[in-house]
Amino acid sequence: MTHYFIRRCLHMFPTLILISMVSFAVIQAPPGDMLTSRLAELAEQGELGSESAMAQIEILRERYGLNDPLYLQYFRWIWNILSKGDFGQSFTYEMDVMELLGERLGLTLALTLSTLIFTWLVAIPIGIYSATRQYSLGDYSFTFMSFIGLATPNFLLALVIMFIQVTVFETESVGGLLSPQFIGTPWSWNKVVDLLNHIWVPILVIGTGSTAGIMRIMRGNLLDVLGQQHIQTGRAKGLKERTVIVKYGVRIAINPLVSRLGLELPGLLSGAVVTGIVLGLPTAGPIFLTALTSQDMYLAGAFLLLAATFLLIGNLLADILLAWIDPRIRYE
Amino acid sequence: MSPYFFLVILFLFGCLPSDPGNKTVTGQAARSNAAIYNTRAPKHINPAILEKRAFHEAPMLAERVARGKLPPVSERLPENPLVIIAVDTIGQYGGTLRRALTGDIVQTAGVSKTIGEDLMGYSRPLPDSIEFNLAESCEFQDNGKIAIFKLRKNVKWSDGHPFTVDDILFWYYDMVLNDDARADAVPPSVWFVDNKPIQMEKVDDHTLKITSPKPLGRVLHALCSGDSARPKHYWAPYHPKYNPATTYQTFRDSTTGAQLIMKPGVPRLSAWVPVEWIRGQRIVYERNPYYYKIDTAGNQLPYADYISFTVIQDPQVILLKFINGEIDLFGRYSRVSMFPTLRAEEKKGRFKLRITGPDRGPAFYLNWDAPKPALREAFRNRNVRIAMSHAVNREEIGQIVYHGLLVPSGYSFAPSNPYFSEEAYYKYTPYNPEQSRQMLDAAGYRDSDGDGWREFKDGSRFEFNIDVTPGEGVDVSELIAEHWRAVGLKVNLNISLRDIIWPRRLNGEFDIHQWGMEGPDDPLGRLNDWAIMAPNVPFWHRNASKEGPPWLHEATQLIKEVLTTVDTAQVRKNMIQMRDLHTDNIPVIVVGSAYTVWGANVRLGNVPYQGTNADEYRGWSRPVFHEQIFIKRIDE
Repeated sequence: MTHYFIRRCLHMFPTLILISMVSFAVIQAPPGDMLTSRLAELAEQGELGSESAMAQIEILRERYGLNDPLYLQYFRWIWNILSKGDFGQSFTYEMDVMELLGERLGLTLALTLSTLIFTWLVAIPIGIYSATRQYSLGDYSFTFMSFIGLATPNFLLALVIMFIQVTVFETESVGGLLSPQFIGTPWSWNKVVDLLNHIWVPILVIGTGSTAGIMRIMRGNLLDVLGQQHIQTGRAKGLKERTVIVKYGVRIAINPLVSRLGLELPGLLSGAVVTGIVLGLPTAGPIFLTALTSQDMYLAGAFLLLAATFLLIGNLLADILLAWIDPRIRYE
Repeated sequence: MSPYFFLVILFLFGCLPSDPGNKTVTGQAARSNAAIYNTRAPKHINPAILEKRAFHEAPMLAERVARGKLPPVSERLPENPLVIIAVDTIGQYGGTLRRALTGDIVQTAGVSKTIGEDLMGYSRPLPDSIEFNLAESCEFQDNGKIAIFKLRKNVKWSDGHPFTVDDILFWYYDMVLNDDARADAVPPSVWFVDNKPIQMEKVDDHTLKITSPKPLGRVLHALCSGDSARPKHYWAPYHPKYNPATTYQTFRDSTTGAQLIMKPGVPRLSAWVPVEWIRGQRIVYERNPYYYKIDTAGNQLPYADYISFTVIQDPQVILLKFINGEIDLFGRYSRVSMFPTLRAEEKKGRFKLRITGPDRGPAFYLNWDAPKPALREAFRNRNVRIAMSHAVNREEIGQIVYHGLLVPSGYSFAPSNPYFSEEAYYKYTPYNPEQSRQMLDAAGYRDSDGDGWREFKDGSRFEFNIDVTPGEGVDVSELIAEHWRAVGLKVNLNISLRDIIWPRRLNGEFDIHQWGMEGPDDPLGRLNDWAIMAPNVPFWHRNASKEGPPWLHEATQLIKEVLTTVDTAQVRKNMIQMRDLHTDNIPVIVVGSAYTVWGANVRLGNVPYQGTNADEYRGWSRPVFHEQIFIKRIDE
């Protein structure tokens, strides 16, 4: 097991390097660069004036070293990360990339982790319920609801919830994670209450889609497992139904969900980009989208690198967790 | 109205009419600032107030004065404060004006248009003339080659430090003209004559002398642009010229547009100064205790204690929050497609809608240097362009996409422009597909193989793409594509994100580029779109300096003369000639001029009923006149 762990850790480095190269190249792939998008942005606001756009771009490209070949830019970037831990400056936010991401990481993790817990707490019991009462009224209604949850785009759900809040309940402040008066203030009991008042909307919105998915996976797996012989054996030996299902059914049926957990980790970071924009959440997702559309390469690059690291670690954790839950799995 | 009345106003504000007798008012676009003179506020300030310096101030500041933290208001205001006639009534102090932006740094213009102050300023709400602002007089000498500006005496920065000519010279020589220190890549071309910078010098602390080898035709406009002064006492320690221990890199990074206007602690001349900036979330501004404007009752402006800009990335959510009463003013991100929602929600009585304009509208920029030679040849044929214009059903586009809020018009100056002509405005706009077909036939573009599409002269199909970014432009483009298809032109749409479309525009790789018409209100503020001011300019004819048509060279010459004369008769003659050259040759197909839909929460007082959305005049935000807007007390 220790050998396996070390080997996996060593494998992570070449993978990371490969990912960093690919993401750097992909960010740069569309025509133009961060300067052209900056100028387009200015032009849209009527701020370009009479200055020749081309002249500006030429000078700025020189200033930011964008005329150098791609591999040179890549090496400069990586070298600064390795030697100084400097991930570069965000062009659109005029700020150190790590500082910018760090600022938003706390709320992002709080939101995504609570969403994850919410999803699992809701989805798994329902999945078990549906599987053990297959084709009952309850099963059908949950199935119906989960299909609707899967089919509704999150951003639409967010807009609908906010619209109802505004028109029916006349809520004072919609969207965001905090009321305006609590933004930037130190934490207090009132602020926590205010956060709880706001956070249920994004949790619900982001959660619906994956709740539906997890529910269906749980139901399907458990149905498979319940048809297997060891369950029959258990029942024949007179075990309580509850023990049969929880100890011998669910424990095996939950395997695919545990492996899936590894994939959820990078999601925690980027957590629901579009929903974040619609709800105006101060999380990392919306920044990432802005970085991509404005080709803010250092910001997007750092983000992708971080997400990739999360993914690799998540996969490793999931594999270890699997071995721990399911005694049949052994790594050599 | 009696002529004396206007004389009084001219005297009061020191209005400089941009051109005598320039207004041609059309039936549907009767625009004049006279509307604000229906105000219930006194139209003149009692001279005794100025004489005794008996000014009033906000309770928030009075309290600081009482604690000894701030000098009294009579000492804070300049010798000759700028007197503002409120739009509707004398307001009340206090409260927060709540606005939204879709980003902070990337949306710096949203703030600078709201609170920027300069030596001069366009009149508000309508930019009919240029008024004195931080300057109190201006005199041209030597046929306009010298301009002497007198600043208001004893205007102070928000930290109490005196504002002098040194701050203007620091901005001009140490920031704008210093290639190492300037955060932008190139300096504004308006400060250059024959590639040499115009000179500025200090006569005394309050007198600025501007000298140029040619008459300073645009200097008043140039001094309306934003903040033509920086607090030298604050920035000099960051500037390598004054402090060798620093670097230009750090100076540039700390003086970008956003840092200058959003960073708390940087002294400003504006009505509010930043006190809190949470990156990507919110910027809060507090009243400037040294602001130099008063109302006609002697109250120091602004009325509102705070103005806050909350960052909300999605305009639809801004709309929702405006409807919900969480945002007070909604206009920078309003779109005409939101009109039905706004109209319906207005009935609940939380906000009032305003419809102003018409301002610029959708335009189709034909690429005179299109990659395909046959298309290039066709677009350079004036009759083809006229035919394409007559094929457009502007009325239909206005009804379907703009809910009727579009004036069908062509490529000419907008009604707000002093050199507007109704005839030119509507030229080549009547919808006449039959005429269009005949003109295309006559120009030699026929459908010779009977497939329903016309052919170029080289026998290939008359086919082109329209580059358009998501939004209303797509709806307009879809309709116009149908109109052009109906006369036998094969049109395809290339709908992509701005970040794909714009490099194509900059590199001249498009056939037709859809964008808002640039500079109909003041073409001189958008020279690169109307004249050959540099190589690769205008973007719709990158080879114009080599292959441009004679009329475009002539128009360029006319514009260059306008920039360097202060003779208004000459300006008028040239501008009209230039307008007709452009309109007659119709290089760009324009669909119309669009009205702007915006709104204000009912809790606000003094919100103007008019305005402009023209970027050349710092619209939409500046004409809203934030410093004299107030928040009504609930008991009213």
